Amino acid sequence: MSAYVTTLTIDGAIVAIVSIIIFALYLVLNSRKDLISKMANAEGYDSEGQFVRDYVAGKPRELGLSIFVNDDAKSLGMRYIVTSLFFFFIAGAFGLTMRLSLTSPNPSLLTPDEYNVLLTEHATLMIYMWAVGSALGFGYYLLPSHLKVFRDIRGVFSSIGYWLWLLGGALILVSHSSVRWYFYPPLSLQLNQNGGGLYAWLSVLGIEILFVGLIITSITILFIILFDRSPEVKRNQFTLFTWSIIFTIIMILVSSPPIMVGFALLFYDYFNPIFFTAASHSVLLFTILFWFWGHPIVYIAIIPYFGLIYEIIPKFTGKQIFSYKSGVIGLGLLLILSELVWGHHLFNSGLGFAWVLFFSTTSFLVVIPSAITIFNYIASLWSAERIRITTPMLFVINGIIDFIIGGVVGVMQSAFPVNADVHGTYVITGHFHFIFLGITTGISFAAFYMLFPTLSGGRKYDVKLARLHFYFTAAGSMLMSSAWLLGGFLGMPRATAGYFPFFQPYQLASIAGGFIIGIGQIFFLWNMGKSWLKAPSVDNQNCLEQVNVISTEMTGGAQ
Amino acid sequence: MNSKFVGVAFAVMLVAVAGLSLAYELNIPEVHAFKLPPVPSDAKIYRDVTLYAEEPGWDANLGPAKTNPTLVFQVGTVVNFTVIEEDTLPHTLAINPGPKELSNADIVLSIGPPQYSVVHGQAYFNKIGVYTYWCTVHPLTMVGLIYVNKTVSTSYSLPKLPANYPVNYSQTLTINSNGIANRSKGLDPTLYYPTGSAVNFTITQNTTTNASFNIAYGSNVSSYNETALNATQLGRTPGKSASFIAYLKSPGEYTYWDQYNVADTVGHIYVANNSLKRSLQVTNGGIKLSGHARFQLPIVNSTNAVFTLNDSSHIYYNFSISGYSFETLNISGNRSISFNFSFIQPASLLFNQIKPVSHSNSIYVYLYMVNVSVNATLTGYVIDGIVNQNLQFTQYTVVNFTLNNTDSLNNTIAINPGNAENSSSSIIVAYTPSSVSSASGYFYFVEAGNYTMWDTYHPSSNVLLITVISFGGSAGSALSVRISSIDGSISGIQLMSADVMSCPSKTY
Ligand code: HEM
Ligand SMILES: [Cu+2]
Repeated sequence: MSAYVTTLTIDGAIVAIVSIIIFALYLVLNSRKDLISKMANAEGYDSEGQFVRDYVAGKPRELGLSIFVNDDAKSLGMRYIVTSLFFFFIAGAFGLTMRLSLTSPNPSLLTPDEYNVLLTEHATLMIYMWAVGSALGFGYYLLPSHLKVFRDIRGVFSSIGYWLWLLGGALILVSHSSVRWYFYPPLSLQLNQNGGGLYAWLSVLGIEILFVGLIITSITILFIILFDRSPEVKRNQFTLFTWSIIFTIIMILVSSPPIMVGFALLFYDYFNPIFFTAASHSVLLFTILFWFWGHPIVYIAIIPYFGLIYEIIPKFTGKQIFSYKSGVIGLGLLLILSELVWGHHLFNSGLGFAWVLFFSTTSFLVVIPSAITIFNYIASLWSAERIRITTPMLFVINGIIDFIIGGVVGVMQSAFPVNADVHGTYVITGHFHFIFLGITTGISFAAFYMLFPTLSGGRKYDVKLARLHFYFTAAGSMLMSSAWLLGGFLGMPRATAGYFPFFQPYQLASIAGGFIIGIGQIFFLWNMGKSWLKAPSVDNQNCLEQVNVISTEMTGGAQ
Repeated sequence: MNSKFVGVAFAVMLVAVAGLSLAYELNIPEVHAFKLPPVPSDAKIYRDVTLYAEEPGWDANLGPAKTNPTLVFQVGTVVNFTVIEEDTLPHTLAINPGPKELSNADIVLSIGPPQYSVVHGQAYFNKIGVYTYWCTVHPLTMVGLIYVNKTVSTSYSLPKLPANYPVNYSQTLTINSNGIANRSKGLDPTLYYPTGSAVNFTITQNTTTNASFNIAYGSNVSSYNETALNATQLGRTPGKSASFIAYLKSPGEYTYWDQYNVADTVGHIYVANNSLKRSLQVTNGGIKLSGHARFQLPIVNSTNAVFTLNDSSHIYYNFSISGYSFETLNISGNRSISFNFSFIQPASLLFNQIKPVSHSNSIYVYLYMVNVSVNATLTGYVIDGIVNQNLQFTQYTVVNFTLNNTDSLNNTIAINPGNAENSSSSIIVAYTPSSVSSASGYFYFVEAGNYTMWDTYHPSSNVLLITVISFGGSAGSALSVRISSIDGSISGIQLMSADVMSCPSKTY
């Protein structure tokens, strides 16, 4: 017991020191803000925001360390984009290692404990740091342009939000947590140190901090949209991407309070277990608090990307999107319905038949907005005279295909009898990887490529390498997720460090897929290095920041 | 900041950060790693212990007997371990505090081929308590206990019987060449007594060789034991008998044996605090079910609603429990999964829905394994001396019936649901023809309710009622189930395969 207390004390000290360092860092940044306001005064500006906007903000941002010290929205956007990319590679390395360890049915490379740690970290970081971070990044980066904002005054809050989010993610990363991304008690409370559970509480603290950052950021972005946009941008002129960010923010603000309370109670339970214990009769409560958030978060991870697709398609078809109105309605309905389906993750947990029926039905209804959105894309492509098949466009088309597959499987597993069989198998893993890789990841890269001329200061990316990046990512994820689906339908249990030899072909196929994806990312890195080494050759504009640009005469346009 | 190396730097940093994170993540901290204290230069007490390392178990001697001896030391002893390789497999001698294996144990020494190689190691025990010594390669078989006491004598003796203490039990045993037997309880019977019992053992010699009757505290044959009756007392004349009153003051498990025939005579005595229903007690080693793969069979404590599964198997089940549960639990090897059931309304738990991956075979879970020894007499079944005593079990109990033929007639045990004999649905679990002394069989009580147990040859005299109470909870009650790994505590829910062929039993 005393050893435990000592450990806690030391851990607490570490957390405190890290927090102090980050706080100090923040003070430095803040003092830099004073400097800016002095400069603004010297230039005769009333508001330093206006000064920043005229001098830095709104201007295309290049990739560089300055994005970490400037608090204008564009810098923040770039900050999130870059940070999330880092986490994509971190969590991706974890994923590949897990795959590698599954080459043989008995745990080989990784012990089950290590596997569980990597599994947890992979999922948690991919969702909160990659999917969410990248969405916030494009939001911050593109919205000021899309809304022609007339001031940029929310840098402090934005920056606080960012650093808290990053601190949370970092704490999760260092926590060695193995409690899955659900944090279900009593498992999350009772894992011993050898199960990678010694610092599980740290991951709970981390996620709570991350949530605080997320809330601050959401409110800040909402304020930018509501109060900082140019009066000339009317609501019916919002880009679909703007709408998607609005809906995402609403979803975050509506769904996160219960689970934030849940995490707080869970954290308390580490020191005095009174909430999620058998004696309190409320162990199952946590799962409900979790999934009330847990389903919306998976939509938070796609709706912004749906919005981005709406922005990308016109750039390469030379035509407006097929239907603006149904675009807004589709995304809005997704928001509403996805608040009502969370129970489909708990079908096997004794919800009772009436609730199962309810959640099953609402899950089926999600098909309607999904289909509206997908058909809108297809119609936009269909009605185009010419589609320029650029790398971003390839990612978009592949994303649409992947979403259809993943979505259809989603509908299948929303049927209770099917769910009883596939729940806990790789079918689920296949389902959401189709969507996360096709939409979240693919569209992030599509948008990243489109921003490349800007963030590299007027350089073009190497088309051949970008294509290779795309083909490997798309083909690899198709192979990996399909193998999971097939194996899953035969009963291959997911999230385990080993498996029955019967499933080896499916595991091997998905391992091959995973490695093809991994190789694809090498092309991406290669491309970054190679393209940057060339001298700038185009202007540093990109068409993603431009509203209503439908022809891509833009020099920096993607190819 | 328009350097052309930004891209390269960016790419390199991405790879570096990802690589470092991976390296960090794979370094799971073991903060509680246990280390035996360093040997002080002024240590006064030294002991030499020689152990032979062989996969079936540790032993003090070369040869087939594998006793995992219980070691007892005085606090402050420096133990010089000499480990001798017996089977050419790799072994380690790991020691950790507590009565079970922990993965953070201190590894005192490692040994491997060639056969009969010798490795020495030292361990200093400066804290009183129970320690476990084991082999990290063969944790299931090569494991024994170390007691570190304030003082230690070289032999163990049962506490002295206070004056005028009533002798509440008597037990007659015969020493045969194949073991110690009781006429009604069979060979090496497991005996149960309440805490504080004084038991008068009467041992009768039935061989012409030396025999003894030894008792030790703990679950193993130990060199620290009480020789209750020695070879002189028992003699070598069949029919000679001697008595000894054992005062079973402390609860726990005791082992008795004949030191001249350890290979055949080892039995256990369980001493429990309360009046645990005798039938609910399960032995540590479990009972081998013929024809069925047996997984780790640990101890079940029936009075406590916490069950722990020892799953060190690295085999993965989809563990779904309908009714009140979390969602699917994947029991993966070497980790603890606990789950609690809260009952919002009265419910019973369905525990038989363990779906193995291939869907083709079924694996049952059972909560209790019970041994019942039944004597078939002309006047009825005699269980624990009582004629046609009704039995009670909990749902999900596997009952291993041994039918002893004491009437030299044909006897059976048939069981069917309901309050009366029902010849159409009866299931015969044991049958002893007149010429055979005993037979056994098991019955798995999945459903709660009443069952009738009867003898198809003597339906009017040999019949009794079995009540199976449901496993579950009433409204507002709660039940915790803990499934944990070899690192966690032992005990619990047991997995039993109904189909040996398709069960990956070799990993167990
Ligand atoms: C087309 C609409 C969709 C339907 C009907 C649907 C349905 C479902 C259902 C029923 C489950 C629970 C399966 C189980 O555990 O038994 C599930 C799991 C999941 N879905 Fe979806 N889904 C849809 C779209 C999405 C989207 C767009 C995403 C996000 C990118 C997503 C991500 C996930 C994730 C991550 C899980 C697994 C959660 C976990 O247990 O770790 N789904 N989905
Ligand atoms: Cu969902």
